[in-house]
Amino acid sequence: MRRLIPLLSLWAAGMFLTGCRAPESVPVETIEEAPPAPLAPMVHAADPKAAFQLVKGFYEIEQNAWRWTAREFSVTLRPPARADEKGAVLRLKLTVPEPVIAKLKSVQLSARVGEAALEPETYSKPGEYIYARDVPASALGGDAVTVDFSLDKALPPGEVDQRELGIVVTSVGLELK
Amino acid sequence: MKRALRAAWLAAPVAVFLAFYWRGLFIWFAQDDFAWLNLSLRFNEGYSLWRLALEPAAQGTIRPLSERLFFIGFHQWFGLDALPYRALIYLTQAANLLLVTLIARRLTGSPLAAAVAAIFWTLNAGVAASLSWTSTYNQILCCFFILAAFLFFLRYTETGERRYYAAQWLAFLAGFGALELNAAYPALAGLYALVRAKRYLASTLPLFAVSAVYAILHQTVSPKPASGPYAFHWGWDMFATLIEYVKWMAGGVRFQEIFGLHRLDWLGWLTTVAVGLALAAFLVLRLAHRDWRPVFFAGWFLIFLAPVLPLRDHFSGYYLTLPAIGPALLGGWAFASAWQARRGRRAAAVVVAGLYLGVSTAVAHATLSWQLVRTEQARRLVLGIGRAQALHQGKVILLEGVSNEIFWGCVRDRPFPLVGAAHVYLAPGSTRAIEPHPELAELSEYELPARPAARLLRAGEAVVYDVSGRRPRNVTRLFRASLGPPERLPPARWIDAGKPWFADQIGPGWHPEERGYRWMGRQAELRLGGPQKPGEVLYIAGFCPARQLVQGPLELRVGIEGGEPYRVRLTRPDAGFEFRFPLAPELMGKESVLVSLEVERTFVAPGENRQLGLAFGIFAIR
Repeated sequence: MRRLIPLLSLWAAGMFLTGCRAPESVPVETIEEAPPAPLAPMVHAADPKAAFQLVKGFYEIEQNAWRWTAREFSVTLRPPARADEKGAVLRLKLTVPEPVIAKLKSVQLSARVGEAALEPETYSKPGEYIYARDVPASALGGDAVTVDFSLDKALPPGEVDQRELGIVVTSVGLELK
Repeated sequence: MKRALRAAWLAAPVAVFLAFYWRGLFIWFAQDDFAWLNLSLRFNEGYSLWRLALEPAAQGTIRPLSERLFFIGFHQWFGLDALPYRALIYLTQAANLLLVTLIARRLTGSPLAAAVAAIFWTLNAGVAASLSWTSTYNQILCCFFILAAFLFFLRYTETGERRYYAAQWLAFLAGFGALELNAAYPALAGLYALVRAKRYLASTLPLFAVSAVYAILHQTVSPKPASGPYAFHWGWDMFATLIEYVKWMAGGVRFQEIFGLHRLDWLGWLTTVAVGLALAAFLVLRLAHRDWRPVFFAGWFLIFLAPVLPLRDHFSGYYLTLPAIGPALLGGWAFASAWQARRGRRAAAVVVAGLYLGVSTAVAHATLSWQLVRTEQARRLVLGIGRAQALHQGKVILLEGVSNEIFWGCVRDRPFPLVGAAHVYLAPGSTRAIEPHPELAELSEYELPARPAARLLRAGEAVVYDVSGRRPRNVTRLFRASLGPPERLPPARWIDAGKPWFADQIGPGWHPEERGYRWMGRQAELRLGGPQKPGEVLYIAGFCPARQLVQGPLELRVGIEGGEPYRVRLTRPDAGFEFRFPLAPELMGKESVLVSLEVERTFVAPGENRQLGLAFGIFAIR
């Protein structure tokens, strides 16, 4: 029995040491947003400060100038002052890359601002374009509007890139009529 | 010297327990803990303490001492500082170990057997599960009352002194406040009397009578659920469940579950086999000497496990806490016997005990570590959201990035009112990462639908936090932008009529919302997002006041999109009700459906002139 006591003590000490990491505890503070930057009516794809307005379907900035999009992409913009009376023009500066046309032959770009569907445009040659459409005043109420763009087709993931690729966007915005 | 040695044998199991489990003092809260803690808030709102302590819970449990009063009292004194709660659990377990040691000493006559039995027990995988979770204090406290009652009974059979018999009764009766399993104690006392003290068998009969009365009363006031994880299943399944518990108890199976991919996982089955064979061999050996004590130890295991065997769908390691004392007593005795025998038997005992302790400590260590990690995540989330609410007072909080584990281990039991955050939902679309368990909770009702969320965000009445990282991160602006304007979003498929942010789907016939509910008049309407899958039903939940039933049962008519209304009769006064109504197939795919309600009569509350029908909370299509 006497021999067992040192054995047990050794074992208990071993267990204490194996469990001897103090539990981790962190202060429970939150990480708050920076003071809100106002929404811009015009967004440059390469401007990281405006990235929060590119709400869906935009990939990372490339060459400090542009971003690839997915087949569907959306941006939230502040309508220009009095746009809810006069209406505005939506301008999307884009590039249709050569590999897209080589694979897909053509792509059709459509846009919707709220309930207002804008006339689509079809691109069958690679190059730089501006997609410009009038947006009715009725679609531009409130402090922010979300513009939803969609392409009829896109390069699926895996063929050229691991991402679904649509077009390349440089800037997008609303201008007063 | 003798006294010091005796104290050392008594203290050794407590020392081993504290040496191994000390980290568990820092475990925070999880799962049911929050439900019990919330009772303290209801107490602050003026609910009767007696009602809070004794009203049966959803699973039909009434455990005033180990759950209700424990959590309410400690929350009143210590808030969300978990250390005092844990300290009480540890203090109780230390007392349990002293009691096990004293009982084992009396039953086996060996101080070595007594100390080893208590150590075997406290390191058991089932006990580790109980010690790692504050809500399972019911197991630890029940052990205390049963061990105390049995020790007093032992003393009574040894001395014949009535004071021990009376003390046994006190401990036995108090045990009902800890856990229903206490009702099985008379079988333990009876079995012991049968095996060792037949003269005292008759003295156990009144205990059986009390347990029978308790069982009948308990079944009357809180019938067992007919479905779900707490439903009873009587049949051959019970034997399969028994075998699972036997395997779990030896520690090996649990070891394999936890360390399944580890190269040492073969230790698991080796331990299960070795422990099983060793206990069986010792049992046969003692029976051959016409020593019936092993029957008592095996009976201990079965007596306290039998009541949970019908819970086929709620297999829980902590259910082994009390049953495991029996095999631990047998094991401790077997070890001490072998230690005093020839070298070969001693070596075999050391090997088997070493395997059991090695595997069990690994399992217990993993259980503690897992619980420490997940409760620390819960702590960061709950206190972080409390901080967020302090920064954004009065606003609704939406959570992004809630993982499956944190949802089921924390959010599901609604912990946020404890930190002053009354209205916390999962952000729209964020339940995708969470595995549904409709038998436990309706996942969709934790997620605020997109339309009311967008409306609140646009009005600046909600904030969104991403809680996937170490600290909650405010992502309100991005999230608001991603939702778009509420007008473009479909109507919510569930609404809480008592919350103002669902008001745009509330139609005519309703009174303004009150504290979490809304009264209808004689007729009322509302809109819900339409069904999306075949088999979905309309779910409604409300409250029927006693005033409405003075003239007899009340008929409620529920029409859906102008179809023939369903008719249901309400008969329970001052009680909640829930109904589910099938939806016609042609409603499938509709953006919204109109729900119309009508009661056959209304009443006027004293001091008011409003015509009141019924009060409602949730409406959902699911």
